[in-house]
Amino acid sequence: MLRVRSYLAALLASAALAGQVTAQATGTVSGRVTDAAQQPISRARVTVANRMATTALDGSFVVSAVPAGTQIVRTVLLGYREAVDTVVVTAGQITTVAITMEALAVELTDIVVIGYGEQEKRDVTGVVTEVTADQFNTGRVISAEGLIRGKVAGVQVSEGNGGEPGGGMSVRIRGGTSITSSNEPLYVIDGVPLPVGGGLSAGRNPTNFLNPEDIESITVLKDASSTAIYGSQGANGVVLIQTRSGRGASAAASGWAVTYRGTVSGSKIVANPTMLNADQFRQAVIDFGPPGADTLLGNANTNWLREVEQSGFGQEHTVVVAGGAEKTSFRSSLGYLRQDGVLKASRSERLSLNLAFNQLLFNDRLSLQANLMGARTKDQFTPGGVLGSALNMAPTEPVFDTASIYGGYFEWDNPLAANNPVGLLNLVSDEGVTYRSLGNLTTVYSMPFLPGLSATARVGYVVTNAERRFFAPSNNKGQTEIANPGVVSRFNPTETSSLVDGFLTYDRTLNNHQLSVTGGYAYTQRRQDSPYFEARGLTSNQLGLYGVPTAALQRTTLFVEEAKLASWFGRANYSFRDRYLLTATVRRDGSSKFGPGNQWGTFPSAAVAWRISEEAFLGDAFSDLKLRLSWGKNGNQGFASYLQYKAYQFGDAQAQVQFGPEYVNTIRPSAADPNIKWEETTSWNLGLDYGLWDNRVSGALELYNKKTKDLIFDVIVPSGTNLSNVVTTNVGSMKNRGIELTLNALMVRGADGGFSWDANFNAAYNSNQLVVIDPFAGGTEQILTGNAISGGVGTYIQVLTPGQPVNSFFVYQHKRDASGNPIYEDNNGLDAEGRLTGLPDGNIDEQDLYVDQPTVLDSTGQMVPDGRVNQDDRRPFHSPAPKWILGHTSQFRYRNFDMGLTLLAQVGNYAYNNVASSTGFYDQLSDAARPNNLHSSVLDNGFENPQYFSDSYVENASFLRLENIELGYTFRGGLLDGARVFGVIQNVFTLTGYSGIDPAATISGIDNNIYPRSRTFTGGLSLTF
Amino acid sequence: MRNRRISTLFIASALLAMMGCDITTEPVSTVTDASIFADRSSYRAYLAKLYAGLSLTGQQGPHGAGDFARLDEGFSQYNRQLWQLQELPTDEAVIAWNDAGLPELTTQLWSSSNQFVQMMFSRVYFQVSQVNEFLRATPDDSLVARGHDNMIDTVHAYRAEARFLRALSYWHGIDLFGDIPLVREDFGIGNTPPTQSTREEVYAYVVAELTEIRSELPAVGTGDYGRADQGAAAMLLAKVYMNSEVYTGTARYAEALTEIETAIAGPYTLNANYQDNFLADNNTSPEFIFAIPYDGVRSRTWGGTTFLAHAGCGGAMANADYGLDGCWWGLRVKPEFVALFPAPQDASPDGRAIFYTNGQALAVASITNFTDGWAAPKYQNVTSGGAPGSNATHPDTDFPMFRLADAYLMYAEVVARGAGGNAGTAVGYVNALRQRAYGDNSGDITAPDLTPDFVLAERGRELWWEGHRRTDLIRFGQFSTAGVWAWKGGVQAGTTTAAFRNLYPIPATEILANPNLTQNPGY
Repeated sequence: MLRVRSYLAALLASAALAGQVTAQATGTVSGRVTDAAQQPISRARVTVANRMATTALDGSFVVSAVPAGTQIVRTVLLGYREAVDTVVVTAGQITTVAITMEALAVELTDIVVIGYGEQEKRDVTGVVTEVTADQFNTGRVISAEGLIRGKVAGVQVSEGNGGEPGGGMSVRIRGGTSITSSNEPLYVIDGVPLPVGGGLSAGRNPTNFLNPEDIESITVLKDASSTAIYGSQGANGVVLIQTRSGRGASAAASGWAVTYRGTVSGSKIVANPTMLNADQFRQAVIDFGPPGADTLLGNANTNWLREVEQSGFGQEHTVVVAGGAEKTSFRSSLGYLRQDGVLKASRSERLSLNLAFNQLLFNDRLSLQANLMGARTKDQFTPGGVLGSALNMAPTEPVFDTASIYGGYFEWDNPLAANNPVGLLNLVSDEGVTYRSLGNLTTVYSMPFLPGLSATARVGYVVTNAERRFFAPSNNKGQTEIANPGVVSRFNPTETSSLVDGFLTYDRTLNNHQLSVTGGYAYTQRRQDSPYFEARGLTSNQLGLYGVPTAALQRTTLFVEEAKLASWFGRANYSFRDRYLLTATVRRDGSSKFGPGNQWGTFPSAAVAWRISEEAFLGDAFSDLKLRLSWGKNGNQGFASYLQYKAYQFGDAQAQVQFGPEYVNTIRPSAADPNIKWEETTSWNLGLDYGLWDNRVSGALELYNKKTKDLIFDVIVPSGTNLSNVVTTNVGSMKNRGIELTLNALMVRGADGGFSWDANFNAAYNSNQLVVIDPFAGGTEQILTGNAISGGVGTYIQVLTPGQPVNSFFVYQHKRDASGNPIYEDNNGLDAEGRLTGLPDGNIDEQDLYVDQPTVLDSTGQMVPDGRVNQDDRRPFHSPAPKWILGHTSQFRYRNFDMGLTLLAQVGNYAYNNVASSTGFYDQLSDAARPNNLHSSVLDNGFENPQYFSDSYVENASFLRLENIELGYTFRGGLLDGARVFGVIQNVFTLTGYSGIDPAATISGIDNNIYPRSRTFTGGLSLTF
Repeated sequence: MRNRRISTLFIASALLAMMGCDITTEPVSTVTDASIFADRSSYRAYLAKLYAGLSLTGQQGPHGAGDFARLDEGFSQYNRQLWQLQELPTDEAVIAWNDAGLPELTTQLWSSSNQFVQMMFSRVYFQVSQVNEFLRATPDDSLVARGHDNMIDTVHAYRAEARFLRALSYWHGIDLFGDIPLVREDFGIGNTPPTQSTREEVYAYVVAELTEIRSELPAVGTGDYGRADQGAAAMLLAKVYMNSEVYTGTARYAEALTEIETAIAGPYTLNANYQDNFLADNNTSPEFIFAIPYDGVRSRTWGGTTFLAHAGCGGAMANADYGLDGCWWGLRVKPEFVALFPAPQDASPDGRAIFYTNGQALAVASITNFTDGWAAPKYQNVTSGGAPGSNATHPDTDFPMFRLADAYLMYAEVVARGAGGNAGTAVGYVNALRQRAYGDNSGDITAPDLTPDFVLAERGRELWWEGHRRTDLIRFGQFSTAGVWAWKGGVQAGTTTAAFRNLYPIPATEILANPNLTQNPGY
């Protein structure tokens, strides 16, 4: 409270002062900003003695109340080199100045967005990488995250589910610092943070409400110096998304412009898992099934995967109207997208509206910016189980069966056999509609009584209202196998997040000293309401998704969760002689997610930089050379609320307990850790920015070291010490170390329409290691982790163990034959004492197949095998995280043609082929009742029993992919002046040794029935009126 | 003026920001322990949860809002796991499914990473820690502080029941795992791992607890159905004493006999028809001393009799005949169990031989093939009158944990061991069971027939698939180093296994979480 009072007092004081503008000798500076070709430049920011103006469409500006004397005029705009001019201002007079700005050769902008402000790039001391719209990935990119894949060193962007249209994305910046699911960076859109992980959605990806056409730039903050201003939310990095504002309007005479951009596309599946064909399957059933099982098989030859796929057509249209006048600018855009998936019944659709309005008021002292965006995204899902069924369904059976009571589709009678995927596809409906709006109103006021002091106040909100609808008719085979067949359900989550922040910024330049100080307060409040209902045992299937006929069983649930975050933050940037730079940041966060003693955390950072290129001794070769060093602490609080409470949950009416004649409802307290505290990441970064030959070659080299302690994870508790088997608590620490290298080069610079080639290379190496696990006094060595794999129930094959990367696979070492293939033979058994005999025992099991690792100490202190193969012989074996992530972008121009391509590679990432491990063994056929198809790997390894824990399923999934290639043609002159037509191919080719369908399967490393990736061809045009 | 207006805007925004000072949010869709007991019905609701720990898996039926994380909820049910660990490694049962660790239960080749072993261990301690929390939340002074003085007597009775349930789980714990941590209610919630107690210490604690609380429980046979009374306490004590030699090295058959007689003296009588004890209306059985109730509408789970009835159905069996919506193709019996019954076993004069043989081979050539081994529809979802249960997925059938027949056979066993009791009475008890099984006295035995081996076989015939077999075999020395049946040791013919198999391993996850624990020998 004390702090709040003093802040208030300062504001009251400023209010009092504001009334009495001191009379001072001032003059006015006016002028015009143009480019080298004398074309006017609008929306450039002109600053004279801490007074600011923005140029109008004709390039003109007026800055009033400038103190008399010699003043520096700084003019900045994205895409141009900063212009610095000197004027002499005379009291009471208008001084005119003509300013020329030089467009940058390579797309290096001089101003970058940072947390709570902007900064000139040369003054940046942290690791801030900006990707502007013209560098984005092209083609059909539905989600914002996909725009920067391969573009930023050390940023791994993965689909959560393969090639699903608009599917969820995961982003890992420098390897991620947490072991919970919340390794996602913080997204901040125009200053408004999105809820962790992007927030809720009833569809695929919560960030899909953004139309990529509305995004001007995406800036990634990587080191602690740049993210510390976001304190407890910054540990996994911060992604700042700036949307376009009216300043993007072209300077048409009428003051406004209309642009249209439209594309159409088609997609085809690239690869499918290899299952046995009908002949192979029939032979397998004869060889390995029970006697006579083959007589149950049909005579069809059905490729079930082909039956559920389709060509995915797509179209996207965006119309933008933008314009402005001297003090006003606006932009509105309307977008429509529809993309069909390559699996039947999947589709993503988006209708988006984006409004931006900027206004200068009160002698240009007050700048008002309002952004409003809203979208409806509608996702249709291929019903869950279709892919799995398509893999497992026997290829000898037909799709249709006129005698079938299951909607006319062939089905096995046995409930354990696979269901007909086409029946599932055609009978079941699953869709989600998400309405999401994000808006903010930001006012920046330049205080009149103290030049250089400005105040910013922002209110923002994110509101999401979603609906997930599901319907399965009572005659679908899966439904007939359960009680009360036929289900219709709705899930209607709502999330409201509101933000208020205010901060003061003071800029002062005195001789060689330049100081910029920012300090303020932010408060966010979030609430999620999740009502759900389902009705089962439908008496009719005619109403489908949209009604509940009489149902035998109905269930409704409601869950509400709230969270609050209050923050004080401050930052000081100081530079001396433009070459010695210092940044200090501190943020103090209070979060509702922790118990009373642990609610508040302080997150400081500091950075220094030396612009060596300013030093005389360096000569002219380097146009830029800057050495940076930063240190800082960040937190992570990306998990559910209420972990600190023993929360009693009420049982429902189907979970009652019989007490004599009556049934009693139950209550149950949850496990709790009242002392749960922040995850805290401490990181160091040493960086070097370089630019050679007038920045013809430029880039950066970074070295970093991050240490995270008090990792929060769900761990199995010592039995009897808590109210469930698992509690969420602080468990240990881990570290990430890495190197990043970026190189931008203007390889060929053609004169006036000649051939030019810009290239970007980025490479990042990250090494992750879990250091300690110590959730409970006395410690523990391993925690099984990851997602349960398919096959068996509750089978985990990943581990957290000190000294190994997080989520390492945890498998047996399969014995190999001379040619390196995993063996499958009976050569060993156990005696009555449980010791290996070295003799066949009539039984092929883990004693035969896996290596008995040295796990016990002998009398001489050597680790030796213990004479049997058991749990202790599983060992950590590689991890899903890539060692290296490499990206390359090239842009070619020749006369009216342009061409671009993006290459992406990952090296050292491993994947567990769960499709093969869960279906590639003959024992699947040993029961005549379950004639499920097998993965073709069984033909090679001959496994009869499942070998879920064999390292033979953990494969090197390094790959090189030509992510996209684009060719464009721009019309010059005539009716179509400025129009551009283009064609793009995405996912052109992938080089990999991985045997599954997609080496980039998922970030988790478990490759199981993911949505197949497609190759997409897109053609489009853009027009400006 | 203008400037003042603008400044006012900033002050307003600062005021808005001040609202952020209180950053505490309390749960709104759940209730914290600070306020849950403001409602007097919470005591009863929490006691119900302690019983639900035996029958259900979470706060939604049949699944949802589970008691555990990272374990399959349907699998994790107490009754189901206890049953699997007690039956699958014995001569009585085999299950077809391939879930990781499940075939190893049938072959006795489990390891410390076996997820089903882990689930059972977790279930035992879920009960223990929930009971402890209940006891911590309901002392007299807390009731007085809440103004609930007039509930003290009621809550005392609840506390006695809670302690019965804790003793029951501790018994299961020492029976299955040997030396385990003894965690009492004075051991608060936190991150300090408990130390390992010996099997004997926990045994003594169970006996002391049951002795202390029995007078606070309703008299024998007078408790509400589904709840513990002095009959249940006597049966539990009897079971603990019967196995005392295994747990402590000292036989205590005399103490067992006292408890057995207490139970038999209660108002229980044999159900006229054996199979009626395992049908949808078995809640009316006069024979049950302590049962785990299920209900197709109000108490739903994927464990319990939902599992037993469905898993035992497959092959050519018509699910509707058993009141079920489908079969799960899982459980059969092994041929050695079939051989316990007089021939012809598929139409045995002993009515307890409830087998389905159509399309089923007697030999279990493959564990995973349902049609290898006879099916055994002992648990069914139809009433004694032939009507289907209230729900075809979730049977109304209750699970008998303690029933009078078990007391009779324990009495007979004490006599057969020469440890007390009256031989004539014992033969009378056995013949009462056999006359029900045969429908007449053609199966009667005489006193010389009453040998320990006979009792073990008779317990198999009478109490099969009721979760007693492993404990019985160990008490008779027939579980590991002696006794051979299909797939024991991993081969179809069966082989003996090492003595350490008499105990399950402490789960590997538990060893990792609690450095105070020492693994059982052999694992």
